[in-house]
Amino acid sequence: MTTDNIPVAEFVEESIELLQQMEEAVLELDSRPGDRALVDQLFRGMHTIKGGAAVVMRPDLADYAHRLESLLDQVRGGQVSAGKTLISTLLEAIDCVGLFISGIPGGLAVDQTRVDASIQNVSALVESATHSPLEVQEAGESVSSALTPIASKKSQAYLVTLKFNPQMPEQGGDPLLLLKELAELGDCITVVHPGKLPDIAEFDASRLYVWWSIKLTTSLSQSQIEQTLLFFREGNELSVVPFDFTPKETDTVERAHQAQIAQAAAGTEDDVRSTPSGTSELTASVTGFKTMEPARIASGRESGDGTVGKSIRVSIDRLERLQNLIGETVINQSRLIQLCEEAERLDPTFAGALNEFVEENSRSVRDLQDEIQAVRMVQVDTVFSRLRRVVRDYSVESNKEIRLRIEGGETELDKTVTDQLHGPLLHLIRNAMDHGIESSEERRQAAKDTAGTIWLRAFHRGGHVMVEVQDDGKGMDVQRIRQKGLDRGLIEESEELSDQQLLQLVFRPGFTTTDEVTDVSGRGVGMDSVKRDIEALLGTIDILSEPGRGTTLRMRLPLTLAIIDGMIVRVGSLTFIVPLLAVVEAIRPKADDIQKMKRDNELVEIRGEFLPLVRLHRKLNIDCEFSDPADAVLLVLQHVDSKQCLMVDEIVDQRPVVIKNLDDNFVQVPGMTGASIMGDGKVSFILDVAAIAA
Amino acid sequence: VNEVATEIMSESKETTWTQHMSVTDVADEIDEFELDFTVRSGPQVITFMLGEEKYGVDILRVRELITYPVGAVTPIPGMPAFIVGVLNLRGVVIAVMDLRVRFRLSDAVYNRSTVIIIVEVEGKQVGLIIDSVSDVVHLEEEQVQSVEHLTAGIDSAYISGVVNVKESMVILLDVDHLLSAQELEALKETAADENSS
Repeated sequence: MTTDNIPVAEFVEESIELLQQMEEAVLELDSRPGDRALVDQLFRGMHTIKGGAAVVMRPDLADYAHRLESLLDQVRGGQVSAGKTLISTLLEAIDCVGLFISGIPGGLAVDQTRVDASIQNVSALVESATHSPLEVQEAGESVSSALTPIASKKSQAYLVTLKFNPQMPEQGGDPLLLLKELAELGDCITVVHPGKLPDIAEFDASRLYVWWSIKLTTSLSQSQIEQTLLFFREGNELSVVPFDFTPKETDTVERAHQAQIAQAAAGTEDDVRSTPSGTSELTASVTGFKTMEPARIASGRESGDGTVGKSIRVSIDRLERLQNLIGETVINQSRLIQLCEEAERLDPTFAGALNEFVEENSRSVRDLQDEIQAVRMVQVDTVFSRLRRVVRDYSVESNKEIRLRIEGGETELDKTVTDQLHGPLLHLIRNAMDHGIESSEERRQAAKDTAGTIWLRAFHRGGHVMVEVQDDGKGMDVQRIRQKGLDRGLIEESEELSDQQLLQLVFRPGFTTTDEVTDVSGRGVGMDSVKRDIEALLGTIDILSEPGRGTTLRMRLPLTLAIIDGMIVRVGSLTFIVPLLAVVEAIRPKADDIQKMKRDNELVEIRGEFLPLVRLHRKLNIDCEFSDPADAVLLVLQHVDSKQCLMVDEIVDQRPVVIKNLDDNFVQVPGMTGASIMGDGKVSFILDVAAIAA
Repeated sequence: VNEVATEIMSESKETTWTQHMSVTDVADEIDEFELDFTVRSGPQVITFMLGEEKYGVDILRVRELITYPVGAVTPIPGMPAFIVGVLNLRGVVIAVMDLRVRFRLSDAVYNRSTVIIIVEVEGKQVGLIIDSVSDVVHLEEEQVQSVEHLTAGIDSAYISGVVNVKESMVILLDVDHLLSAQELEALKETAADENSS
């Protein structure tokens, strides 16, 4: 096998996904110990990684995964019970596997001390199991341990042949257990024989096709080795004979095997992989073979009866290209409609026929647009569930008992939005754990449930997705926020602010209520960075807090980043797009509503409120149709907590527009957040509301 | 009915294709005339006129040639005059720079015969307005001369060399430098200054 053919990237990608699912399963297992389905899922996942590791030539990972698989097998068998130790061990193990995986593309070595520590924990758990219930295992233990002291006496070589019943794995048997056991008896040189491998199309994942021959050099007697095989004897063809490598005419098969073993022993490992003292490398390559190939066949087979959904992996770049092409089709479609109207004048009969077709096409194009959008949608649960681990780890370390409740995880959002949501959510969760939830003692005194709860919630509301992080902690201390605001010079002593206004202060840059820096939160960058992140996603964030009852951070997010609701306005001959989210209202002012201030600053009086007037044509230095505000239209824009009046010639339209990033091909143009292609095929800019406010 | 159909068809064809001809088409055309089958090792260069001088751009940087879409280029507020605006090229927003304005070589006239070369530098596609496309030529590395004492219309910082092709001098434009991230960032800064003043 050459390295070119090894699907490393696929393995890494698939493994990362698997690990994430496994982590979720472990956390589930924490709340539902003994759930067989979860353990099975973990076992399958680890098995796949083990197999893949062998394929990508990482015997170290394969070996590690094998240990974990054995542990999981014992959990499955009930020998190891699912307690806190197990959960922690498994989580750490998943992290370690993650370390291996993330190092693969760059060829980086793994932090061996951490892995060793994890192996020790895993072994300890496995050990504790082997000493308990099963009698046979105890017997096996006693055999090997009793005989170890005389191991140095005199060694003899035996040829052990293992031909298991093909149905063995189906019946729950694992030949690798025996191979491992044999490896402990002495020096093993193992050769795996492909045996009667069927055609790939007929390959059955649950059957065993290969068989093994082992040269076992040990001080044990033949009968003692046979005793080890005893447990496996039934239904399988197992034999132990003294190893005798001399040509025998009669037994050609046997001879060939012995020759092969001799070859392996001689160190020619090109096509026969062997390890003198253990079977780990071998088992890895064998299981790799067992899991990788059948997995593909299995999916093919299962799809036949329709029980398993088919899916393919597509890069987001390709999706974006597809979306671009569809966007182009949409533009062409609107041009077609214009042409139809022109045709109407020339020949109404022909235009009628054309119109019918164009309308039909319109529907298809719209469907196409909806479909491609739907493809980009992913469940927020992909972000939410990653936070479970954070809460659990904190809960263990801090001795605060905290539960995480996830609601509406199935709510869908654009992939780009979900991807960028993790950071802000992590910050908010950490804040809630660190500053929101009180210690168990405080909670008891307040007659609250000693365990705090954090809700992570998502739901639809009016074309947007709301995401909430709510805790049942002590709530925000409004007076402390006020004091802090005064200290930091964010507010004046004389200012009379409502509680809600004071709460908003936490979003100001440089505002943090806790002075000491903990590992969890309070690194100086606080809620202002969360707010910035959410605004970058074209969303808004709000805070609600009740003393003693808890705090809720509520984020309103667009379904997608690719499309925003825009108000299309005209200034002179140019059209611009104003994000509708920022538009409070549109008004036609009377001449005396406008007041001139010094240095050309103008204010508009709207219902007693004075707002700065921004003439867009002046700001951008372009031509306009109306220079008198009384003829023009004023848009009241809200950005953060300031309002402005933006003066434009007219409002043309209001509809969703597809956002194109300018810096994809050029630079981010100051004053513009992006551009969009309009129905006539021309480009219009999307105004940056923050720049207008500045 | 036929008349209308033809009319609509011709017009819709126009809008669909936006009259872009691919670089390979140009190359093919020229190859046909020259019937030159010698194997060349040097780079291929598209040559074009800017005012009185002939310039060349490495063909590997050129994505395609399009005609100037009259009335469909949106000016970018605050940008210097040589940034003509942005246009929609099959769903992609592309900024267009007029080299003639930038280096004061000839008048900025935009009509249906104005050509835009779409070049790609560091993954970014930018349109360059030129007077007219001349040729596609093969170069031998050794033909290229340095530009130390050259007095061309263009700032020599943007020139990678000069070469004589069929008795006329071709100035090789260094588009990598012209459209480098630094150069583009500088544009942004001028625009920011403009907007704040």
